[in-house]
Amino acid sequence: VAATSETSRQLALRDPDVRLMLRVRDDEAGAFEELVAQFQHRLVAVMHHLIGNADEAEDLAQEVFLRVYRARKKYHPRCKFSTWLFTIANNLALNTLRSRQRKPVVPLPAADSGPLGPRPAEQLVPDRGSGPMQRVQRQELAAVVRRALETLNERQRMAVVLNKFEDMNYAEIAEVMGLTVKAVKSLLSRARMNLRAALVNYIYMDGEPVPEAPAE
Amino acid sequence: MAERQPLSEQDRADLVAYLDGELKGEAARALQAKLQLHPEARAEAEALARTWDLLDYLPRAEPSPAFTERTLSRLVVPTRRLTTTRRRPWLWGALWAAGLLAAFACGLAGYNLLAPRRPPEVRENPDQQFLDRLPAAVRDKVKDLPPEQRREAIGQLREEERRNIEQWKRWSHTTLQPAAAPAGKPPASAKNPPRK
Repeated sequence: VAATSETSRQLALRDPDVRLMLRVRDDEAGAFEELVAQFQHRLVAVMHHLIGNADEAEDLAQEVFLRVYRARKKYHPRCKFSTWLFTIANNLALNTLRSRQRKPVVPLPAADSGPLGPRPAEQLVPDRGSGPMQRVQRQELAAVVRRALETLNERQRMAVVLNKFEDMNYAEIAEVMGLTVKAVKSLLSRARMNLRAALVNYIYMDGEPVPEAPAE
Repeated sequence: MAERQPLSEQDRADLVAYLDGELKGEAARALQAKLQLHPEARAEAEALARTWDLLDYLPRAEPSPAFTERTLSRLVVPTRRLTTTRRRPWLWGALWAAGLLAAFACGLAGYNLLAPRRPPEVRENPDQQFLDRLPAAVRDKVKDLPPEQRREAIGQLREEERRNIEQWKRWSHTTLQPAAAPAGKPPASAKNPPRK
């Protein structure tokens, strides 16, 4: 107990976010508002990458903050605060994604995709010309990458998002997702292979020759 | 030129870990050597790195300006709900107790209102109570007497009743003993005791 307490104290000293959360735990006025203001951008962005819908991502991010608030009295710092926060986010997002698989939601077509929906991949000709064209091309590429991300299963997607957009290392991802570091390594490897397969037509749009696909 | 060898799953996992800066020491050096020797491994590493860079095209969602305010406002609702939930058991207990009390009071009032009651002159007059126990023929005759004679008749009847009771006691004492001899005849007056 003494060792755990000492570890917590050292973590609190090192991590300003832990100190902020301890102020929330002690019901200090304004501390929770400060916490929300500080983490809302990261949390909404991660949720959006995972869920793919901005409104739903915002609702889920709010739910994460509410869970943090309700659990504040039980908070004992054992890791970085962001790791604890994203553990809650991970549980909520995975539940949402699994529930969505059981009750699929039909996404509305993107406004810029035309009446026939997203354009086929072969229409994405690289264009280095005018600004508006580049913007359109960028939006279309974003839609393609979005769909590629959605081909991953929810655990692969979570690992990719935490690694890519939260700069988490394998150990931190393992802690958030409740896995071993070895399992995270395997998960990320399979995820990146799947992404590579889904995006193979867009990797070499700058005219470089496409290397032969690796043997499976 | 190096011999072409397909990458194993472990090679690819190491390659991804290497690109993520997660491969250290001897494993990292071995992979670097493999990349130098095998162009297909280099191509694979290049493709994986480019794929990873494509994720930068994903737009980064920003929270709405009122996000903090709306989040804080949602804190109020569960708190109120919790408070109501805590209050409910007490409220229901009080309601049950009040209901039971009201039902008891209604029952008592109904009984007092509806139960058959003897008139006060009967309840408070021992002579009348005595008359009520007598056979109807005797009672009617006594009732028809003037008050003075009626009191006298009642007194005599009471005395008669008292004597009869004394006789029944004696008879029961001598006749109804457990080890007694054959039961004797009850006194003649006991055959027709006053109606109870």
